[in-house]
Amino acid sequence: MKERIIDDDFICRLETMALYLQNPMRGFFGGNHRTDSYGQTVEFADFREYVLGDDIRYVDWNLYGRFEKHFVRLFADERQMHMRIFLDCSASMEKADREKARFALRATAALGFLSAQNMDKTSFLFMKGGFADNPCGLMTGKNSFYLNLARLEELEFKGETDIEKAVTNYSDDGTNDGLTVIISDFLTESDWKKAVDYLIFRKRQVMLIQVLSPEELNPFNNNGRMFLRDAEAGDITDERHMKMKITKAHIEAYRDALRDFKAGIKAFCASRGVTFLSADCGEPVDRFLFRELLTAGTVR
Amino acid sequence: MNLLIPLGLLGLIGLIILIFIYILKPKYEEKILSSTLIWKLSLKYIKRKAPWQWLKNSVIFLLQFLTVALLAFMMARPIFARSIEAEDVIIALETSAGMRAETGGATRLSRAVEEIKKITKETVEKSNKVSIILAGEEARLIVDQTQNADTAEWALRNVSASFGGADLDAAAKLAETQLKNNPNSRIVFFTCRNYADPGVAEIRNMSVGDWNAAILGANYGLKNGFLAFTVGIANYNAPNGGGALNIRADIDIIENGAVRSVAMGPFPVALDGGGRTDFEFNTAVSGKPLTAFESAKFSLANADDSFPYDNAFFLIPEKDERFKVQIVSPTAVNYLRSILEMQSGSAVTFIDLSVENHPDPNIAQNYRPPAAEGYDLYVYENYLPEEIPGDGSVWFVNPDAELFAERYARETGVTFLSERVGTIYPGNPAKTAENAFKFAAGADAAAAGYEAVLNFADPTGISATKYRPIDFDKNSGWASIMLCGSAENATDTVFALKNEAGIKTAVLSVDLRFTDMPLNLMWPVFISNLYEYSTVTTLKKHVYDVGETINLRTKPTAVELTVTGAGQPAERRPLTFGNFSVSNEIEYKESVPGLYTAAQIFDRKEPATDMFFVKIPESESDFARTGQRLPPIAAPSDTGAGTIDDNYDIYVYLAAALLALTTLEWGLQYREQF
Repeated sequence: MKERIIDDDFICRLETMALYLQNPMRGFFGGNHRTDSYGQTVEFADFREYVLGDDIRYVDWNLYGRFEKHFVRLFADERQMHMRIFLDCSASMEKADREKARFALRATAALGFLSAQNMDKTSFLFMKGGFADNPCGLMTGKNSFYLNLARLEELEFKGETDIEKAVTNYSDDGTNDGLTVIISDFLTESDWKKAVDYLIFRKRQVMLIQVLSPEELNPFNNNGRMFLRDAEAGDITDERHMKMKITKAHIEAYRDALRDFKAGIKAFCASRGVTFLSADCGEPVDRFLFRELLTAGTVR
Repeated sequence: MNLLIPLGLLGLIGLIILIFIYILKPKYEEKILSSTLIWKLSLKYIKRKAPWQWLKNSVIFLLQFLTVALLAFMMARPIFARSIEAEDVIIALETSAGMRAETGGATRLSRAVEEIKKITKETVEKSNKVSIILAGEEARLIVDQTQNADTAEWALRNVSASFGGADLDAAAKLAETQLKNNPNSRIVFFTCRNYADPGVAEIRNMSVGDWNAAILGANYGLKNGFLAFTVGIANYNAPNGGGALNIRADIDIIENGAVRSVAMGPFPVALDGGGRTDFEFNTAVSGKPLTAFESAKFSLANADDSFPYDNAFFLIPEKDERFKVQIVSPTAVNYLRSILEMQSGSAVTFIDLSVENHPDPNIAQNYRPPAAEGYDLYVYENYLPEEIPGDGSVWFVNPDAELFAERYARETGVTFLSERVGTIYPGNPAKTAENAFKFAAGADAAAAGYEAVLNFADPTGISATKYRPIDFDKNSGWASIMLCGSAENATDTVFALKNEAGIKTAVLSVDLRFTDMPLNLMWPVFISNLYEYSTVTTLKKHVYDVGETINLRTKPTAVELTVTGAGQPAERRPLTFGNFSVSNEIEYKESVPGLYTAAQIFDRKEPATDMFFVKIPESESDFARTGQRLPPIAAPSDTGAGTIDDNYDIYVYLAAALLALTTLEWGLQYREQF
């Protein structure tokens, strides 16, 4: 695949936004994310009583005049975060509907840009099989982002993906240092919930973006006898293939099943404090980002 | 149930094809999905959502199966054999004279025929049967339970109304017979009047504003010595009450030996309120005074009614017949002549044999010898002709016994015994003593054919001073009418009669001068009876209704009787009768109104003619008459007759079922797919 997934107009609009992490993180020095620790920024955070050794320049003399006690002013600290974006590179993301993969790549790129713009560390992790490949390395700053953008454009979607293994097996997993985004259709039998629990355990903020094609949201207009081939399945004997006579009742059952499936993910995420977004790849990605991410509070 | 096209069941092969279609693997459209995970999850939902889904698929198959089977069944054209009640129609069409009434260019009969054709068509279209009865002077069945409208139309093509009445009783009987074929039949009577009680029949009155002016009859009499006529006129249902009608009279009279017609009128007669009116006019003041006439025709000059057949009436005098009687006697004393000359229609010729040898040549030259032919009645008193005349009845009064035996014994079979003589008073031979011979009725006096001779003419009490017993062979046809003998036991026949081929021969073997019979009151009655018996009146009356039996009695020796009339159909004109039997009585009926002439032809006599008029029956002229009760028609109990085998085609229902099946199957398919 070699096509431009992000253009200047899109980037221009992204520049108006900034990532916001809800959980206080430890992170690294030099970033733009406020943390619950005190630092050297100009933004006032709190007072505390003066103790020996404190810089007297931070003593608040107005308070001393009122209480006849010495209080020093504390200022907020800003840290650099590490955003890890796990992208499902299985065949299910592309084979049935190319737009699905394109949407996922544009979302990945957009989130990566926001991270780079925020001077955060950024990692694009392509999940293939039971592993997460990181061909772009650790990106910091826009230059690094632009340099690695081509790798996204050349990405191929094939084979299967085991999200659980891909996430848990990733070596540079980090702890309490930023946001982890998993972009997938989650139409897998692997236990991705373990991967989420693992990331929670690592005190990372987690966001799941489910990308579904319009046809997956509203299946077939045509009815009748269908041989449904699973994009990730192998030969004809694979049990994931299905032969069925699709009727109106089947369609309704599918919609119910999909609704409950998404509700199950949503409930799980809510129980873990995980942000869950479901996207229709038929929609423009910028609309999704500006609407869903803003609604979720991930960006401001 | 029967199958008209059993081969249509070959369509059931379609079921095998249908099953094959289901058995053969259907073609699946391939579709690549990102994942079938949701579809697999949906299977649980579909089972929960539609637990009878498997049944639905079976129902569709079942419906398709039934559809194919139904199609094959329809191809075999199934029909149900059943018995249904036939709604047959029995039609009785009255063809009386009243049905001839014409209004608006169509007669009642033609209107009825058109309606019958319509009913017939409607009935046979429903596979029911039609019977048609013609109720004319005789009722007859002309269409017997037909299901063919053409047959009925063919039978009705030449139906015409008579000039007489209708035998509705016989028609009702025929309808009753037909009703046995199907007690559910509808009976429709096409008549020209309403009935207060039509019974089970349905009455179709064909009269539509018809009215009738009629001359119902006429009579005559002498008034102030001249003829006066009374004419009965009637109008029925006339518009505006009738108004005035003009009567015209054409009277035939004999003037100077030739027949001449005298026209009188028209006389206006007011007929307000309808019904009958008697109009009387006297010839003395209405034109030419008349004392006698041959015939008179009365007609309505200005009647524009619906029924013109009774607008004229012919009146013929009752006593128009003349009988020629010849009396031959050598004696001037003639008890017979005076009585016979008094008889109606008699033209008596008296031959006095004593004149032949009269000393006065002027008288003697008037002598005419007795004729041997040309008379209706020959009376020989104390005289015997050479031969017995053969063209009329013959009376022998006191014939010479020896001469009679000599001349006619073989021919007549009559001989005379020796004369019995009692006490005779000189100068008054008829005067009888107490021991004179007494008369009594003979053994055959009351026998059929002879009973009229002594009617009101009882011979008991008559006596004679001498007589000659008649001896005849009992097998020769002679009848003993009067006996004579002792007062206690009168056994000798003195008056015998014989009727041979209408010629009556009478023998009275008593000299009228030696009996008190001519002086007795029974004498004129007896002679009158004998005259009536001996002479034959051709017509008893001169007016008959159409369809009424007409009695014609031919005169002795008539060889042929011909009836002619203007109204007779050509094929019946002339109506000739011949080879007469002993009775010489002819009974027949005329079917057309009009004036008729009955002419008798004789070998040795001039033809005799008599006229009579045949008129429309008064009941037919009466258009205002309402029938009280139609002859009852007894409906037979329902014996199961009247049902017809019918093949009930269920094609429409099968088609409806097929439509329902296909619609249901399509609905299920649609519901499943969309």
